[in-house]
Amino acid sequence: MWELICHHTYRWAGRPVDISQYNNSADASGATFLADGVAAGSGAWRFFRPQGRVHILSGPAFNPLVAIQVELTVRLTEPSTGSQTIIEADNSFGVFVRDQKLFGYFVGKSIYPGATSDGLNTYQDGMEFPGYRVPYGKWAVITFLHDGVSQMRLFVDGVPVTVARSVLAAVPPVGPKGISVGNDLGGGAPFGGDIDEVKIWRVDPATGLRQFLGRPADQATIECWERFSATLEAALEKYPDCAIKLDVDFTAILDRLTRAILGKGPETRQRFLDMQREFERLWRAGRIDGPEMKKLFADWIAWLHLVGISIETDPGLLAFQNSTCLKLLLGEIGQFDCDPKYMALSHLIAKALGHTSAHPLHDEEFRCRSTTSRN
Amino acid sequence: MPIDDVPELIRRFEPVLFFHPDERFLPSDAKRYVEKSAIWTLTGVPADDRRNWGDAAHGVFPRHPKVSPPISALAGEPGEPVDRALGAGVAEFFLSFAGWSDDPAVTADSNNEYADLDGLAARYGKQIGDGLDQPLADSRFWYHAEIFDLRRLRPLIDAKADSKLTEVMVALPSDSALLCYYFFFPGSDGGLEGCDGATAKLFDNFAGQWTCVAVLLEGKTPPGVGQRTAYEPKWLGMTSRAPDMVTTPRTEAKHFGMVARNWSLVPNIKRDRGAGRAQGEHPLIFVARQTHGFYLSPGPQPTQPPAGNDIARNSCGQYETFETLKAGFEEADASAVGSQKQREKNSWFKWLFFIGGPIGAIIGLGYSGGVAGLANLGGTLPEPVDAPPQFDHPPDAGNFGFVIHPKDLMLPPFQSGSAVNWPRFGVETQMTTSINARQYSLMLGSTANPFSRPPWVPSDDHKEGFRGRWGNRVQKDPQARRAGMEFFEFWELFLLALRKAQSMP
Repeated sequence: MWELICHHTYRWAGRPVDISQYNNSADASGATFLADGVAAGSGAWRFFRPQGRVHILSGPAFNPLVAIQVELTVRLTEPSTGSQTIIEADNSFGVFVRDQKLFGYFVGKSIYPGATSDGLNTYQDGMEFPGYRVPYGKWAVITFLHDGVSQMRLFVDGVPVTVARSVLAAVPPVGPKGISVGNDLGGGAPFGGDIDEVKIWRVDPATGLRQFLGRPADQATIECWERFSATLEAALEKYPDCAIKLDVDFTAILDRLTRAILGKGPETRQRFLDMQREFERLWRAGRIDGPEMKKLFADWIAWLHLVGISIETDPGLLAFQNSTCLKLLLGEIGQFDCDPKYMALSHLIAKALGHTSAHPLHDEEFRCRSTTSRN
Repeated sequence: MPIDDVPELIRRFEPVLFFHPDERFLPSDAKRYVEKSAIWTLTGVPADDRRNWGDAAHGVFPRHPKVSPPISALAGEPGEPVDRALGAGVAEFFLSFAGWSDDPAVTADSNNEYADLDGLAARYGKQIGDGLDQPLADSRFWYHAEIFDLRRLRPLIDAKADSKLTEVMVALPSDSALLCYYFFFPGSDGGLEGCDGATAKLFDNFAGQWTCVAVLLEGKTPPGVGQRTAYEPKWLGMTSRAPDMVTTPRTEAKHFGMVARNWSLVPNIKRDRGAGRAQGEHPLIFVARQTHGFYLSPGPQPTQPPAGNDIARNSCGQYETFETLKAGFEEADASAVGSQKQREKNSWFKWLFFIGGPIGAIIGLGYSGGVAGLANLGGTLPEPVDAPPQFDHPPDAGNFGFVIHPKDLMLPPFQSGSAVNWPRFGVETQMTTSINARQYSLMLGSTANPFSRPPWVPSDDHKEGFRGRWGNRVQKDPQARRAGMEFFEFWELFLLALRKAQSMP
């Protein structure tokens, strides 16, 4: 679910007021205010001086990002063969024009070995040849979209102007220098045109948590999870270094598995998305332990095996499972047996995986077997 | 130019409030409420633990209030003073007017999870003449108004050191004035729509609520000595849960903020106030049932969706105590890793998958968006359905409960409703009355010093006056959703709302 994290209109005499719920602080300097932008009275900034820009301070809205959608209402007026920056976010993402070609990029692992950022443009990745060129003197709504996991793309006025390009990394959070609109962060690469509106969305980082808590629950189940969370909190506090290590490691494992699945082609991708949708439907309906869920996971795991992905034998996951840190935490948490439906879900997945036992949290045999297999 | 006549301006812009027929709390005189309340102390954390309430050694039961009524809310009036110093170890004062619904006392076995709103409503009454406490019933249909000119606002803004407020301040014409009407509701009912169970039904239930309608005036003074400044309304601010409301960190727990609307869009009724006096201009405002949000239109109004990480509000009131855990993780994430590694805050539940091994990973992959962070590229995925949408419920057009209005105002016709005047005490600009040797006023300031505040509200600099909560603290309420409200700095909310309104597309 997208979350709007910054929205400038420049309607009030150009003041960079963020009307998103985050109310990010910003200031404008060195640019020329236009009372009329894309519409009469809509307000816009013209950026042609080397130091002119709108500067948005970094803040919690920009950390984490993972997936972004950046929408910019712009009009190119000045020709240039150099980079003409529409937006640059410190160590995170950017959109610029060069010789009328439109570029979008993010900082992170690239498909090009050794590169520290990855991007696409309307020259090499256009939908047709020659690709889209930003026209002079005409307003356009430019959108750069990165889905956080698998693809990125550029759109103009809602129409794709590049192919959807694969990505190997998520969009990192914005660094301490913040975001510069109309120029790059260091100055010297002004857009050479007008910007009327800026909108930035990210994937809502609380979506998964809301989904998790969206299952209908009786009082006993709520209390069960509250007890579990309190125990977990105490365990994490006791082993803070382990908490960080496990978080980083497991996020990387999940990220790798997700990419591996999405990399298996469009059919697997579609099945993955369908599985998520159906899982969410059953989860929110509270039907997590019945035949529909059983079939969902049996089919999904069988498909993964078919395309060569075996989560249960994934070496990274097994190493994680047998790590000292995880065992320390499990030792503190104890057995989890107060949510019968969740336990049943674990059992049905274990069965689909071919395990005789289920979840390490509520299955001593599973823990012992894991320990034995390590030894 | 100094403001010549504050009561004159207050009377000139008195709003017309249309209430829902089912509303049981009406704007009342806060001074009479505080005079009959007990004052409790809060020492230590957590604030929602009854062991930390009251004037007894920690953990000793029963707990007792620090001060029992009567309370003296003005110097020279009988009772214990309302603005006493906090004292060593006291973090907060809170008022308790009617106690707690589940257990009136605070004992070792008491629950104290909800303020006794039924008891409050019974004492005030819902209709005319049905209140159990007649003086209190008579204290209804009341407001408390005050005005800020730029000389008063400037030091308040400077003290905040917030560039956003300064930005608005410098944009205001020099003769601007902010007229604030504060409405005190003894209780606020409120629940989550589309959810079952008592937790959801009483989710937003608390005693002691402050709301505000603000009018930004622009003054023009003709040249010459001794000329009076003429004021015109330019913007209207209203507290509510409207989708474009602005909040401050202090108002967020109540999911409550303010919006500003250009006066040209505000329905209002003009009133002839006699020769030589500016005509009255009275905005028509529809008050939402229970939450007391103010709107310019009748009928159901969509409200601002809760923040994504407002877990309890997103889960029909379930998992309230997870909020503190989540906050702890966010803090730990931010301090431990910073921006070096891509983090997913708000995802403590990942731990469930971490410790679940392959099964946990399988389940984790099932979550769309949250764990993997996969977003919707080009609109190919349906958005997940979250919590039920929430609405505020001002009365439907023409079908009202009470309609409170300035005296001598010709109201538009309506099908049902009971019209009641704002109080008058003789001439229109007389704002104060005396009852049993106590003074009650529609103005916070006095005629002699209209920019002052009485001791029962915080002083401008928040160093004096009663700075506590206007209703009970309750148990199992880590976010203070069901605790009494503080008297907020509504001027700040208005300026932020004005800033946003000027920038809306």
